[in-house]
Amino acid sequence: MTDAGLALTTRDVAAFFRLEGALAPFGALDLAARLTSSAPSVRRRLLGRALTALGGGLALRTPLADPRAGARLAWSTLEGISRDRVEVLALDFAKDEVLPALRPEARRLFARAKSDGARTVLVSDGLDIVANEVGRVLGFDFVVANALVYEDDLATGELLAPVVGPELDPTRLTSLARQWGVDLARSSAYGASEGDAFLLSHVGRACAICPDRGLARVARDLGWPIVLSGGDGA
Amino acid sequence: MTTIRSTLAGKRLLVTGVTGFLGKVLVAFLLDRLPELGRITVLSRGRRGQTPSQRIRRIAERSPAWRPLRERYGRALGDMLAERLEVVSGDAREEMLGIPAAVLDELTARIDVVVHVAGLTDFVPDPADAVSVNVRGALRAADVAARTPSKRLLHVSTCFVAGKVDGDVEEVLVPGRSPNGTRFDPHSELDALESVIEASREREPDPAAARRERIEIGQQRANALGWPNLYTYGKSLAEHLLARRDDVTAMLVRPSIVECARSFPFSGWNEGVNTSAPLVWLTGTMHRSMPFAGDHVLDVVPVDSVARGITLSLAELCRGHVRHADVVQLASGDHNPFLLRRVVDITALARRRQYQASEDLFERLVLAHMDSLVTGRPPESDALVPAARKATKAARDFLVGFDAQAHLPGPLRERFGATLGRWAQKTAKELGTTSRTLGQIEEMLRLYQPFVFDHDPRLITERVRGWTDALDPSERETLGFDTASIDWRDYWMNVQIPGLDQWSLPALRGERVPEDPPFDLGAPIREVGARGATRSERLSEPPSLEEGAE
Repeated sequence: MTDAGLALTTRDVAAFFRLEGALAPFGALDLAARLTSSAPSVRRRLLGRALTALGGGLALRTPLADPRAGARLAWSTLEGISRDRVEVLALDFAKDEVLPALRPEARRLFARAKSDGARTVLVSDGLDIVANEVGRVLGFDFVVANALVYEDDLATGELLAPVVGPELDPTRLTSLARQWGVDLARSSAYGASEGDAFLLSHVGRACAICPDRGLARVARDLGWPIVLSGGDGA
Repeated sequence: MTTIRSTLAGKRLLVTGVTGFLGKVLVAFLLDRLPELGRITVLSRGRRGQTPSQRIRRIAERSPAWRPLRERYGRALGDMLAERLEVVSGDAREEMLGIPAAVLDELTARIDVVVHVAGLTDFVPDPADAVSVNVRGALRAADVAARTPSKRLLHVSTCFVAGKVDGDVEEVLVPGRSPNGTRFDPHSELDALESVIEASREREPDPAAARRERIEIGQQRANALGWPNLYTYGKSLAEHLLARRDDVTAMLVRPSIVECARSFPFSGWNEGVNTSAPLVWLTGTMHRSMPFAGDHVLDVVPVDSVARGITLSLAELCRGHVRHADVVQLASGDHNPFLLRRVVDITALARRRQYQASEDLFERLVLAHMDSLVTGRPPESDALVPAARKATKAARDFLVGFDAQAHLPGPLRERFGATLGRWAQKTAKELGTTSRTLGQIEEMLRLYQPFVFDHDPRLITERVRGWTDALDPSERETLGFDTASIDWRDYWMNVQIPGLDQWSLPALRGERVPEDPPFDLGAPIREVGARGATRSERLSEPPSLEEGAE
C-alpha cells in the first residue's frame, strides 16, 4: 500500500473517493485481466485469463465466495511478468481507459471537495500505478492503493502488505486519519460497492455514486445520498 | 580545481570522421559546449562533385546534428564557424591522411591533438576497406599526430575489440595478445592480411568473388584469434599497432554500442543503420522468438554521452595525465546494465503502443498482440525461420513459372486464366519479399550471435566515471559522462525507438532520411590551403550527404 501526497498542515477535513466504481466504471480486477492478457507468451495469457475470470467470480459478493481470495487469485496471475510490462501497461490503462471514463458527477463532487478545502484521498484496491496517475491528473492530496511485490524486477503475484481490499480496513482507516490529522466525523466519503459501506460508515458525510445493489440498499437504509450516472440523485 | 574548460581553452584539434554519425555530433558538441576551445580543423574529402568545404557547409546548414548550433547562433553561425572551424581536404585512406603536402607543415605545427574518429562500422566489411580505413587510417592519423608539437592522438576504437570474452574487460591493452590469449605480432598480422588481399585481387578476376574470398579468409582469421568479426579484428589490430608506436602519445577511447542521443543535438537523433537498429527492426517483424541470452547485457551508450566521454578524455590527454596506449572505455554495462530480456520486453511494449494506435487492422489486431520473447537458445536451434524461408522461396519459384493456361481445363481457361495468372505473379512477388525478409532475419541473427548469445563481457568504465566524479557540479552537468543516470525504459521507449523509427529504419528500408530546412550560413567556411588560406563555398542544390570515411 502506498500513501502519496503532501504532509497535512492545518486542515482536518478529508474527502475519500473510491476509484473503482465511484470515480470510474472499472473494477480493480479489470487491470489484472488486462495485464495478464498482455503477458509475453500466449500460454501465460490463456492461463491468466482463466484464473482472473475465476478470481472475478470469487470476488463477487456471495455467501460462498471470499472477495479477498478472488483478488489474490487474480493478482497471482501476474507472477513472472516484468516490472516494465506491468508499469507500462498499467499506465496505458490509466491514460487510455480510466481517465477518459471518469464519471462527470464524481469529478464535480471532487471539485467541490477541493473548493471546500478538504484534503482529498483516493482509495483504490487496484494498483498504485493507475491510482497515482489518476491522483496526479486530478490533483488528489493522498493516494491509498496496492503495490505489487517484485523480485529481480519480476512480479511475484503478491501485493505489498497492508493490502487494500474491496473493504478498507477500519483500523487502517483510523490509523491513516490519525497520521494525517483528519477528523473522520467531519469528513466525507464516496463509494460505489457494498465493500465501501465500511469506509462510508466511518465518516460524517457518506455518499454513494452509481452504487451496486448492496450499497444502494445500505445507502437507502442509512439515508445516504445516492448520485446516479447522468447526475440523477436520490 | 582545474576545469575541463580551462584545460581545453585555446586547444586546437584536427578531427577526422566528421561526416559520420559520431563525428558530426562530437564537433557540434564541442562547438556548442566549449566556446573556449581553439579552432577545430576537420578533415573531409570531396565526394560526388562536392568539395570538402561544401560537404561540411552542408552539414552546418542542413544536418539535424548541428541544429542546436543553428538555433543558438542563428544568422551569426557563419561568423562563429568562420572563427572556430576550418576544413582541410584529406582522406583517411591516403598517406598523411591525404592532407596536401603544401599545408601539412603549417597545419600540424598548430594542432594540439589529432582526434581520429573516422572508421567503417560495418560488421562484415571488405578486408581491403577495413585495413585501409580502420587499420592504416589509424596509423596515418598517428603519422600526422607525430608531426604536431605535442604528438597527441585520441583514437576512437570500440569496446568490442575485447573479442569473444565473458566477464570483466578492464581498461587495458596487452600489446600482441589476442582475446583468446594467442600471441601475435600486429605488424606481421597486417602484412599477412594485406598479402591475402593482394593475392585475392590477382587470383580472382571477378571483383565480387574476390571480395567474398577476402571476407571469408579474414573472418576465419578473426575467429581464430578470438574476435567475432572483421570489424572488431580490424579495430583491434589498429590498437595493437598504435601501441607499438613510440613517436606519439595515443589514447585509445572505446565506446560500446553508440545509439540515439539523449539530449544533444536533441532527443532521439541517430544516423545510418547502427547496431541496435536491426535488432529493433527484428522485433517489429512476425518473428517472435529472439535467440538471445536474456541475462546478458546490451551495452548501449547514447551518442552524446560518447561526445562527453571523448571531451573528458581530451582534457586528460591535454593535461598530460595519460600514458601512451592508455585505454578509456565508454560503456554502461558495469554501472547501469541493460539486460537483453529488458531490451526485448521494452521494445515489444513500444511496438505494441505503436500498433495499437495504428489504422492498419492487421497491426492493431494481430501485431499489437505478438510480443517478442527471449528464447535463451542459440540461433541455430531455430528451425522455423530457415524452413519458412525455404518454403516461401519454393512457393515463389513455383508461382513464377506457373502457367495458368496450362493448368486450367478448357472451359475455365478463357474465363479465369488471365486473372489466375495475375494472382500468381502478384503472390510470387509477395512471397519473394517474405523470403528475402526471412533471409535477412537469418543473417542478422548469425551476425549478432556473438553479442546477444555467446558472450557477455562486462566493460569496465572506471576512468571516465572517475573523471566525472572529480568535476565541479556545473561541468558535471554539461560535460560529465552521464550513463549512470539513464532510465533504460524511458530511454528505450521514448528516445531510442522513436529515434530509430525516424532516423535509422528508413535508411534500412533504403528510404531517404530528411535533412533540416534550408539555412544560409552566410559567411564562408575556411578551407586550409585553398586560394591562400580560405575559400568560400556556396551551394544551390548540392547532393545529399552520406557517411564518409574521412
